[in-house]
Amino acid sequence: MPTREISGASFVIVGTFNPAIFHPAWLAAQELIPPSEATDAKNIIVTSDLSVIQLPWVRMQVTTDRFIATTTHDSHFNTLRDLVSGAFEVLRHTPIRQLGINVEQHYKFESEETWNAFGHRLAPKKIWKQMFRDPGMRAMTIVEKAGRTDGLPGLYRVDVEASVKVKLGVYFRVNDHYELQPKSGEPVGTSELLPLISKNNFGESLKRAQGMIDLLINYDGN
Amino acid sequence: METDVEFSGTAPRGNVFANETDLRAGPSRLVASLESVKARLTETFTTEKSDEKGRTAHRPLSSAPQLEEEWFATMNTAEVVWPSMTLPPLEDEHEQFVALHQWEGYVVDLNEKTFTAKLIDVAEGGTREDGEFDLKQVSNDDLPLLKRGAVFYWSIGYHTDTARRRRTVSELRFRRLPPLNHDEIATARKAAQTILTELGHR
Repeated sequence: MPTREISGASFVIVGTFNPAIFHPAWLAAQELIPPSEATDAKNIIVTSDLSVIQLPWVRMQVTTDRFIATTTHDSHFNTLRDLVSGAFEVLRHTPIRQLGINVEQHYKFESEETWNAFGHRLAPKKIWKQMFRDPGMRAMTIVEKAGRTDGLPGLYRVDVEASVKVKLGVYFRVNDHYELQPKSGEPVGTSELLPLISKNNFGESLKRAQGMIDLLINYDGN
Repeated sequence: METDVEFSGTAPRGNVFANETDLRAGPSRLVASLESVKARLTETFTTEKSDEKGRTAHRPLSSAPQLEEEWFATMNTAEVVWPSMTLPPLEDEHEQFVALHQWEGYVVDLNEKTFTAKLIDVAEGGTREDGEFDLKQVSNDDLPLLKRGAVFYWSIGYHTDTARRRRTVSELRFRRLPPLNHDEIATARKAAQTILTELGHR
């Protein structure tokens, strides 16, 4: 069986932000991160247009229209959720338009044969062999056109690519996307956002993403 | 694929930051450092670029990370149908942790050396377990959070450091939430009082 080598999650929130506020010292003052992590934060850029913060387990990047928080520690997915949820509980009047909860994973296959076979199962090569001698799948994106199963505006998207991080690896990305703009077109506040990143909803999102990835990994072509 | 310009939207690397050393070195060093930051940011977040054939590619400032080849590869797309909600790349230099087992727990009791907790196995469908932990396992920063009822996450897994060395680790991390404000405390008290009243408590 393929083994999971890298596992990450992120929140991508589109809205209107004040990047300058996202500083490690502010996060520590709000009791969202330990004081020592604020002190040890690396590669900090905090300006009125851009904030980039690197902590040992999370990276935050905030521009005036986008907030991204990413972790590659899958032990810290809930900690990431607490951090993002906590930050927007404090910044409760922030206008929000879109939310993406993303799961990224790299799996390593046992051999080149099983690695290629996986690509062939997802993208059968019959048609491609009429134009290429040895066609190989590099990337595939599938979107749920029927919308979200919970009826909320948004969709699910899955990307599968040859991993550039892991030799004989396959990279998966599951995007759980919410549109938060009501019909009026005006962005909403965090009161609409926070339930979507609640512990339960986030847990469901992770579970759904892992289910999709497991389904693909275990797909035998039938 | 190679890229000579970093389009990843990530923090510029190297010694271009206004750091503590710059601050101590005085204004001239700081100004030089900030100029360097500005140059790198301009390069990193440029939104328009031309190739050798004179074609121009436009990229939203906040678009997904793209290598140069991929950027130009999108030029034939008549319409961008998907908002750029994809991630910055998982970066090589980052430390990584892949959990083999995870629990969420809350503190039931504690003494001078240990604390006991109720645990829910996150991976195994919510199996409930009891656990006892040595206080030495708790990070100094988390000790003030160690109280009855405190929620924590416990993970066992393999940690890969920036040198790609892997080791198996156990990590406890206590949950952090912003402090409640007066309104939230008042609302919680009112809700608690309502429940007490419904239970017949006066």
